[in-house]
Amino acid sequence: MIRVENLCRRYGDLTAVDRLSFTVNQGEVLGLVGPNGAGKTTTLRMLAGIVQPSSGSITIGGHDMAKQPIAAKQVTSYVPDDPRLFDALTVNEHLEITASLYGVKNYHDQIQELLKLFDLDGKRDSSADSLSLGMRQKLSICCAYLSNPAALIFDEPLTGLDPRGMRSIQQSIAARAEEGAAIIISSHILSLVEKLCSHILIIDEGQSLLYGSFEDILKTVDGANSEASLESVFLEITRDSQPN
Amino acid sequence: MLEILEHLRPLFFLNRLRFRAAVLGRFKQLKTLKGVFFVAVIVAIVVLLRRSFVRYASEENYIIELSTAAASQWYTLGLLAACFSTVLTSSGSPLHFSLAEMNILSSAPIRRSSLVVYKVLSYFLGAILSALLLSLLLPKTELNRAVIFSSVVLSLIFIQLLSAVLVMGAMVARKRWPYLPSKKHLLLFYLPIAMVCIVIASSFRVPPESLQLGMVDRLSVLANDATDWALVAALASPFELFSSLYVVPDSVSEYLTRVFLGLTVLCGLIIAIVVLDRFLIDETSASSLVAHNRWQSILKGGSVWQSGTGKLRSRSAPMVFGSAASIAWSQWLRLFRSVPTIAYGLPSLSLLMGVILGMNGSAIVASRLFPPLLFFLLVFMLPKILTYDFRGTLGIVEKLKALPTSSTSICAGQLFTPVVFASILQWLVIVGALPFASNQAILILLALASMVIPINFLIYAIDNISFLFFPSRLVPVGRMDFDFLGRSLLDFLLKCIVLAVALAGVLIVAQTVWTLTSHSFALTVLAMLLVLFVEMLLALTMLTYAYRQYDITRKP
Repeated sequence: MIRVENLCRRYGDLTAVDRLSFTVNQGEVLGLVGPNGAGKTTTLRMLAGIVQPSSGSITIGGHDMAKQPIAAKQVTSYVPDDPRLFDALTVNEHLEITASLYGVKNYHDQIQELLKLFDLDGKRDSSADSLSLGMRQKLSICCAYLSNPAALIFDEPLTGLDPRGMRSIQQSIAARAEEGAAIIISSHILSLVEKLCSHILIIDEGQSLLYGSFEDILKTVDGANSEASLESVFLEITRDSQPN
Repeated sequence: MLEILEHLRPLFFLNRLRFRAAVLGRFKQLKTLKGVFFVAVIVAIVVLLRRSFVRYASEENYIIELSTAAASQWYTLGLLAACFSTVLTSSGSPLHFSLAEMNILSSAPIRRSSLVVYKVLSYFLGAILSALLLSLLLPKTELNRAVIFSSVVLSLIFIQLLSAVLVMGAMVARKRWPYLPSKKHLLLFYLPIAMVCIVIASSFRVPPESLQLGMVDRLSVLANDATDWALVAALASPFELFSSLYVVPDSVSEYLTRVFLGLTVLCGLIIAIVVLDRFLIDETSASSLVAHNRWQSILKGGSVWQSGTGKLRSRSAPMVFGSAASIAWSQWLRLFRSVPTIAYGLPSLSLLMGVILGMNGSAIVASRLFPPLLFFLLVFMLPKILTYDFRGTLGIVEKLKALPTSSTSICAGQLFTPVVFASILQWLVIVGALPFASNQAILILLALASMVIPINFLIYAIDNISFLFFPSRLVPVGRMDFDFLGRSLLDFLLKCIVLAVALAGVLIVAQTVWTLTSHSFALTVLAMLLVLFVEMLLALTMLTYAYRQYDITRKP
């Protein structure tokens, strides 16, 4: 569903993403983890078609992001780490705009369902600038779900959420995966990644350090037993890159 | 083409919603007493301005001359200058997307070209509102208001689009050929050299009989001469086309033809922007991010001007004069790390202004427009640009209050940069004018130069005092922000009154000393300086009080 091959992104002399390759099939959830500045957000932005790759290819739903960007974006939804919205527009207007942008028909019932799911039904006519960070994040996720995308890309989806919000988002992500969506989540909350993701990609300095299912990863790490957590594996793998 | 239009549909829907929300937001401002008061202030000042402008224009017979073919060459020059200054003062890509647009629209299934066209068209709203205001302010000419409105809209959009094409073209060229000169180099070296060349050329190229003319007339002769060259004529033709919109046409069809040609040029420029954007997607994203950070900083009380980001050469803070010097130093660094237009452009421009003033001193100074224009520039415009004081760093007042430093030192340190930089600009004007001045004028200019620091101190202290008592945004939240406009005009009025009182005190003392010392110029200047110095201390005391009482929980 999502296929990435030799993806590179350079900013002058800096290589933010360096020859990344991975695949996320239908129903799979890939956890993208790495230290700060590892290149996670740049990778996700390239997948969302916001940033152009320097080289390599991205295929989503069989559409090449470079050659058929409209078709690839049509089946993709992106939830950024900073849920920036159009300040003066209401919650409902955001959803209507999203429906219009993605050509979603008969969306009114779906909007109602999504708002209820994320406890936003009372905020339907509130402007985005009056929402808390957590509510903006929920609205951003509602917008992402509205077009029923085949590929979902989340960058730190739990930013600013309360425990109840976190739980509903986690459940919704799991449900979307069950329905067959290919999902990528980038997060520093490693327990969430361990719980939700079928596959994990650990990157540092733009390069892939480990990639596979959690069980496969445990087998490749020296000294890691079957009880080891993703956190301990992550700290072990990225130890060399941490400042003293 | 059809696909672009199809993708534009949801974007127009978005713009319609945003416009509606913005209008409703403005009406909300009107629901408060403060909002109504500020609107009343704006209307009163606009009416006063219009009346005085109409009276001035009718006295000088400008009404008749405004729409003649002879005036059109001045419009051409005006458009050229507006375009030139827009290009010079722009930083980064002229296309800016908000973070919401970047996240939501860039990842949506929309063609990039549709997104660019949507963005360009949304800029037109500003031109339409400005044109509406201008066509109301301008005195009635032989052209009716609808024609003036459409002409102003078209020419404002032309300046916006052409400047964008030039800036984007230069960015693409520099991306391809990195050794081409940057804007900083252009401002620092090439612009002054070009200006000197023009001045020299004006002495050699113009006919001998024109040498007696003033600088402006000599440049006019030069411009006429230059239009004979095919290249210059070709480059000037679009400017002439848009300036011809202000000239009374022989028939309606003639005006419509001009409008049609103008629209064709605008369409061509939009296509050029779409094409150039393909090479600048990364640069546009980077500029948008910078603009977003700047806006976030402004909302927290930061400066309008973004300080340099990324990797910079670290400078050591001065270890003398205590904390005040360190605060001044930090503001000085912010100034020189903001857009090059301020740090490098303004000094060059000031020197040039000095030379022009020097060459045409008597004619310009005698003009009725000069004193109010100079006053407006020094007291209103420049302080709006040089916000390297409390106004630009409200977010750090909390940290300043925790410093083991006296409030007076902090206030003096905060005012240092805008006062000294504004003074340097004014000294440069004086330096530029000195070679052309008579002995008597040199004495007056030197006396003025000695008073520049205390006068600037008064101007910036008043700004900071009112800001600390009543913190306000430095930029409007959108077009037609009544609160912001009303507040700016009130601030200006207040500053005029306080300055008038302060300068009246200086002039009374000067007159007294002049009479008592039997017209001793040196003693009079000394007495004026003494009074200014006392007023400066008073202003510093007031500022210190305003700073102490400022409650950090109050945000603009």
